[in-house]
Amino acid sequence: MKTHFLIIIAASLFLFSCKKEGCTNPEATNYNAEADKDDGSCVVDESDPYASQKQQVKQTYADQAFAVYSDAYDLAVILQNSISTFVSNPTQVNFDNAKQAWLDSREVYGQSEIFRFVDGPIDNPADGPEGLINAWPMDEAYVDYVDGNATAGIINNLTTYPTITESALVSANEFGGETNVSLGFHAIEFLLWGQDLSASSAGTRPYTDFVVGGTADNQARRGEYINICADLLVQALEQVKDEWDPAGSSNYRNTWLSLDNTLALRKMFNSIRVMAGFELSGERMYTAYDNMDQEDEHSCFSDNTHRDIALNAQGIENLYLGSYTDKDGIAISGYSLSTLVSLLDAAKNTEMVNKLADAKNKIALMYTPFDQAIILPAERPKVLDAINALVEEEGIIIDIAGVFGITF
Amino acid sequence: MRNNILIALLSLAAILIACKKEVSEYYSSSYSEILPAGENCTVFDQSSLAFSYRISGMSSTQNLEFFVGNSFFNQNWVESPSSTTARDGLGPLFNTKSCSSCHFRDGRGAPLSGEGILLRLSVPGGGIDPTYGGQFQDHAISTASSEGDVSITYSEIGGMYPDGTTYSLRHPNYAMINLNYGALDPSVLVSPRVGSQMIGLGLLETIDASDIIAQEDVADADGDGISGKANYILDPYYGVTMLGRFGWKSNTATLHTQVAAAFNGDIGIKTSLFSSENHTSNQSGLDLLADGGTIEITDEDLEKVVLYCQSLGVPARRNSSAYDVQKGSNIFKSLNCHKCHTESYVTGNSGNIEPLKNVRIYPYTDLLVHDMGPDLADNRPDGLADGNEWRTPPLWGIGLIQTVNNHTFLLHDGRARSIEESILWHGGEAETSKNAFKQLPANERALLLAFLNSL
Repeated sequence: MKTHFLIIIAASLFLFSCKKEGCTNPEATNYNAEADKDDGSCVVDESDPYASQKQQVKQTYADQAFAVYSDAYDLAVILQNSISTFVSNPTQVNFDNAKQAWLDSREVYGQSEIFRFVDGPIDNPADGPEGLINAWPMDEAYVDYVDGNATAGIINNLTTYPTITESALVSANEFGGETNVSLGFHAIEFLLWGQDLSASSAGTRPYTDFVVGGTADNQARRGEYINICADLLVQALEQVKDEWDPAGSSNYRNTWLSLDNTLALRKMFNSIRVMAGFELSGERMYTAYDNMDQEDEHSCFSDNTHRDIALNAQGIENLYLGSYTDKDGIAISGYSLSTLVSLLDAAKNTEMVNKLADAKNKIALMYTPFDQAIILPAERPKVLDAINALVEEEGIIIDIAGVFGITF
Repeated sequence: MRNNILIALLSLAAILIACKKEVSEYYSSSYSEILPAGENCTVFDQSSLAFSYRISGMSSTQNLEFFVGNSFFNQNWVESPSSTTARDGLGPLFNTKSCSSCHFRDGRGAPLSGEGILLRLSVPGGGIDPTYGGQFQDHAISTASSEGDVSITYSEIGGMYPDGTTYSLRHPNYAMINLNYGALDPSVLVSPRVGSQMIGLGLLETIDASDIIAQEDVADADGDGISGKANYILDPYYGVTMLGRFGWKSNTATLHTQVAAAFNGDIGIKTSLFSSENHTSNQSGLDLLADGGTIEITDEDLEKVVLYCQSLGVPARRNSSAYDVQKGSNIFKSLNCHKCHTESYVTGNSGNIEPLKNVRIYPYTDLLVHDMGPDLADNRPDGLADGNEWRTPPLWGIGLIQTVNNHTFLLHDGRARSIEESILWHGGEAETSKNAFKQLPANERALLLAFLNSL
């Protein structure tokens, strides 16, 4: 009996003492270059001459994910500080600084969205915080006053929400089953810009909505609300960033690097397919194009949707080309999916590289702001051109996946 | 000592092998065996998004319109007035704010308020509750009161297999409490329903009615104890009486009507088909509240949501050629499960979505209603279906519900916590099959479950 315990203790030590577990055989399809203790999981497929290149592509993906989420986190912290400064000292200058910090933070977050759709840290079903970060459309009247209803929203509801606290907002966000979109980037956007009620400009909420005795009611509560939104955003991005941190030992990065090569490739191709052909061209662009509704767009309060679109497309390119230019302008690159594809089918790789450039070009040609691009008759065809370029990207990536024996 | 080491190593190995299962599943089956919906309508993703993919082979316009439907399906409706005028008009009474909250990731709802369960109401003779209407809405916009709260409590009922293995089933009790609009009709009949997975619905709609009706045996002429009855219903979209296929009692004939009815009853969105809000004239004040217009989703957008619901693909099977699964498949037939859970059809030629036509599909349903016994009965008639009858639900995708929705709550109200429990709840026409299942040795019960999980 005693020996049983010893074995169990020994086994536990074995499991807990090592820093990172994984397959340490570089020949294996699930080789984890960062593992320093072999866990016996190695799968060697001697028939795959590209195993090592695939391994490097996985590594690049993990490095890029950490780089982009680190930037997203850092910029969210700057946003949090700007908002906090504004709320404690609500001036026009501080208001404008907070808005700029929001726009800056979107420049990186938009590029991070390519890391969705693989059941990774951002949107895995168990605890992925994507819905708390970037959900839309904002339920405006659930949060604050709207045109036609000066007393709407949690901010103005002192009966149900006598105090604005983090826990009250989190449970309000969950009320009604799925996410009531009352938190995240777009809640902050709504509180900074307000409803966009004109064709020619973004929302024009006055900064005095946050000045006690200024415009609208419950200014202090509005300040508490936006501060909490920023705090929660930072927490959510920290959670995702940590999962990709090379310094972590049992985080998702380790899981990712230990994935079977083909499964990892499948996930990467699928992300591109879903982002290009589904999320971006379909949900975010064609839906708005089809509805021609001024505010049926992603960043409707700030009129920043054109950047969301360009950045999502940039994310696809980053993943495929294995490079990312960080918030300080430094390029980070590694062995790319593109290089791997070129080894198997150089023509298809060229086709994809060209199509990425084509889509980027067509997106840049769209009229700004996007809510007018979908309405002005002379501008609408350009939106459709960009949509079609993204749909073509999807088609090419499906073909490329086929080269690796991957079907969707 | 050596033995102990061996045991420790073996268990470690077992853990490691178990963890790698996901990987091997992609390669284990031969191609033809894993397609429940043909080349175009089968999808190969096995992640939490497995129920969310569009079928292939539609026109390029349909491909794009799918996403418009998708966005109206997924995103929350908001209170009026709002700057997103295309998406306002929620309530004033509602169960939830979006289709996707009860069909999360196009999957299955859970028996929790706002996440997938609702209560249908009627009075004997077929009318609706004079105050609360045909459905109990336990949420409301900020300027109105909800109808009240739904209380769900469970009592555990123990049972035992003949081999001595024990199990426990949870029996639900529903109550509508904290009522805000006075008393319910004293004779009110209540039927709880959870949202089902959305996969392959267009294929089910494309099965020729004659292929479904041919399976009817209302008077059990063949004496096998299984009858099967078609429910017929006046479809407001086509204006004629049609075979019911959708809903827990096959009480809806077309996806168009199903979608429009759900918008109205569950979210409070008016359509040209259901152009009144979901409250009654006995609920004072609600008519005075701001709304999103006389129609809150246009016909064009509604059509796109219908297209979306018609064109979600069916996930490929996993491990279908594995020994356990093949054995389980034989047991499925030997227990006569397939007499209601009809394995296969070739779809017909109706509709305007080409890839749905003439496809060999494996949905495992007859779409008929069956007496499922007193324990499952809601005692509330619905069309031709009586209070004991329920539609045979399709089984395709059942093994991925855990992956997609993080739960395995099954049956019409999610009372079963696993596939095994859902089998044990079967009664009435399925009593004999259920008892035969219970008679099986434990390893054969496991084989059947392995088969069902491969679907």
